[in-house]
Amino acid sequence: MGLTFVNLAAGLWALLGIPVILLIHFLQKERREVVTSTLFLLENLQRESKHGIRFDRLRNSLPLWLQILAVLLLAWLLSEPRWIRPDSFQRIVVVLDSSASMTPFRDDVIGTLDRRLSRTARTSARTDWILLETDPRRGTLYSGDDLDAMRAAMENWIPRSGSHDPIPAINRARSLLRRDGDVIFASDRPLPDLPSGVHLLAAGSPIENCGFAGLSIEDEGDRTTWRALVRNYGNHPQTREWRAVFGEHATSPQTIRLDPGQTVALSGEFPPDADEGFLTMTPDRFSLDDWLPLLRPRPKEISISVEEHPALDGFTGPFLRSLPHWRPVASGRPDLRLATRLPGQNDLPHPAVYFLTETTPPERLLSGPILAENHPLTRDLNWDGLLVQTGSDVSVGPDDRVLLWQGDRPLILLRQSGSSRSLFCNFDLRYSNAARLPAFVVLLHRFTDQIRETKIDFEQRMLETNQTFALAADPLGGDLTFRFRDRSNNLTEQTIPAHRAPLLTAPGDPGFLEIHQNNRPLLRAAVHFADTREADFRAAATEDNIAASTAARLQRNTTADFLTPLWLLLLATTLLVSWRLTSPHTS
Amino acid sequence: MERPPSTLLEIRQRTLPVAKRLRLPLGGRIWRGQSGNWAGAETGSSIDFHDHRPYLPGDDPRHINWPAFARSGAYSMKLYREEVSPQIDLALDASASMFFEPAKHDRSWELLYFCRESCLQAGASVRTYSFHGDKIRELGHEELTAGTASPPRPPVAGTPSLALVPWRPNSLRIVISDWLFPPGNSVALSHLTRGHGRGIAFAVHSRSESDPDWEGHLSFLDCEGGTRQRRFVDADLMARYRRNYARHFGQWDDEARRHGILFARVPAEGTLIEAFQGEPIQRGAVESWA
Repeated sequence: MGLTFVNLAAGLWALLGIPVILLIHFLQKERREVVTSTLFLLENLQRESKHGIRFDRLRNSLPLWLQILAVLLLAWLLSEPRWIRPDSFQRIVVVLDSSASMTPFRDDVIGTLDRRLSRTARTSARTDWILLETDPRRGTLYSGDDLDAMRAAMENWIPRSGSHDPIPAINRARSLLRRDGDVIFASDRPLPDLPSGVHLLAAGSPIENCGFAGLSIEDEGDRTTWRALVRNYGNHPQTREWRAVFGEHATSPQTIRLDPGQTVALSGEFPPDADEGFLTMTPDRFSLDDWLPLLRPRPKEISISVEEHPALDGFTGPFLRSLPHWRPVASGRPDLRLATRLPGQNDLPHPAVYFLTETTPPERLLSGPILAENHPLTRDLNWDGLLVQTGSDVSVGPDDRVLLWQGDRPLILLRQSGSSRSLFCNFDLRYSNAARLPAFVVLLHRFTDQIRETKIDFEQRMLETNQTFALAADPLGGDLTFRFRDRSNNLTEQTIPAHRAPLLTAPGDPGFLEIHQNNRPLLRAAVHFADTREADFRAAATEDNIAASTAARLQRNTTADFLTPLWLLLLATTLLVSWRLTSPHTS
Repeated sequence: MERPPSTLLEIRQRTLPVAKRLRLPLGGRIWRGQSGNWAGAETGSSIDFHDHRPYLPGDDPRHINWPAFARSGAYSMKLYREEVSPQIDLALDASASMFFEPAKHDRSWELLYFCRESCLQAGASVRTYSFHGDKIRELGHEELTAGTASPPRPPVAGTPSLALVPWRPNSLRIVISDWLFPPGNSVALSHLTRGHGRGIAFAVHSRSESDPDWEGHLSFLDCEGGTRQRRFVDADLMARYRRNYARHFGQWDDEARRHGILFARVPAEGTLIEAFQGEPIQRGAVESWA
């Protein structure tokens, strides 16, 4: 049967009595001074070495050994030994907070958890360990009965996620518990609505932090400017040095001073010959926001062909001027067409935006409520004020998705054709005020953005850490190659199946990312930390209520030492005999 | 609390009755010396017949052995034993160990006074000395009678040398000591027999020496040299000490026997008469008047 101690610290403190007893024994003053005339007879009995005198005392002193035995018995009793029942079992589920704010306290959390879990392991004959992260994308880090393997899994835990709700992960952990077990949530701060029965291990502290809090890059024709925010999240004024580096070009270090809570804006330009650079600041304990990678954005350019038609005059010009990153094409296969169609004309090339043309001016003004479907293209758009005159009937095909109704007439629909799709505006712009309605323009911009997103072409952009993004790639064109270079220029590479291109996740660390498919570059991105909620440590604190569960587990899984009455009796006897031997004799 | 040592007057007072009941073994010996009341070794004018010899012109005719002349017709002289006064030399060991306990202090002086009284009652010529180390001092009759005698101060450690005592020839030499110094140096006892001397050695001892109640952590202070030693005393050490003690006096016993010296141990506890009941009487160092 295994043995564990409820209060081992008390037992260890009690053992300090042994050196105290030894010290008292060695320093014990002689009971009396004896004047003698026969000292020479005692000297004849002296041992070989006078250095051995103290050890002579030790060897033959029965009271000393009795007192040491008493201390050992007392230490045993105070440490409250308990025998682990061989049939005892427990399941411990540890949920690690994946938030990036855990970064400065990761080692503290792992160290404290290691000690707590080692103690927890000694409260049961068998323990089932499960290690989870709060980020649902990470899955289960470990499941088994090997604590060392779980420790190794903890070492591989790197918290880089943005702000998220840990409750779902905690609830999942609770659902994994069997009859006997506990859930431990490890974080850097207390959680106000922590579910009951879940034990908290918070190993944070309110550290001071200054870092980059936001970034915008503007392309102003012949120059590209950057603007970054620096924020002091702490409670004390902070001074930092920063500089901008673009290849061989580097600014001289500049000092900024920020009061608590203050945000300062920094700005600059990209050198003409540099697309890539970074901003760096004096590092502190939270390093994710001390380095900001910069990349000159180069969005995908789409080609647009515009039909020359009176129905489109007056609209396409202003619309195209509001559209960024496009180029006109007169022939070939453009990425997008702006064209007209006649009523009943359906066999049309895709993708495009088709506007209905009336051969005769319609007399009827459509009436009825305008209803927008719940679709990303029409979400949150206000169509009040839309006036449409039309006399044509419009049919809705099986592949059509109506986006906007007026009464029972489909005004705008989306038609899918293979991997392409087109937007059908079932009214003549000449007989409608849609061109002047912001909702309509926004709708077209959104559609154009979708065309741009699905176009398989190279782009440069800024991403945030852990940001999910879509990448246009050939689903049959082979795997995607991820190359990531961090701030220390360490390069990592991995391969991802092409079918995952629509849902990719940026790395959790700042750096530069490149994605290729069959050696064709598709994306170059600068990944920067932008979750300011994770950079604020004023609420970080230390709290540990795991001990309370340990006592309950001990009660469940162990039995008390049945020999305790015997030890008590032996202790009393030892003390009594020792006192009797050391008390002065009475003649 | 231990009683203080008695004064010498008190000691002398309580010794006198003892000297009337017990005495030194002065009888049964042939003495040499000055005129006295004890049979001497030589011829003299006592009434004790000693020997015959032929008459020589000039002899006192009153000592002619007329019965022998009647028988033999030759003139012969009767010789009578001389009467001499015994010479007793008393030596008291004045080392600090003799006086560090009241009981031992009193017993040592009691022995000295007993021996003196015994000698004076026998008409012996007694000289009394105190010795320690290389210092010898004769204790005068007046100071002993007045009780003003005292051992020399400060006490000097070291083995006393009996060679420095001016022993008289043919004297009975009585040494009162505790003999707590290593034996084996026969020079110490041999001086008691030099010059036709005879010796009696009294060994004063106390229970605190022969059977002390030592136990535990003690700090021992030597009463003579001032040496201090810390020892832990347990039953084993005590047993070995007692063996060492017995062996020490066994060696003195052997040494005394080799030199024909009476060696008697006198305990410091109890009365003087009780103390004499042991070895002193058993070994003939003290005898009763009866």
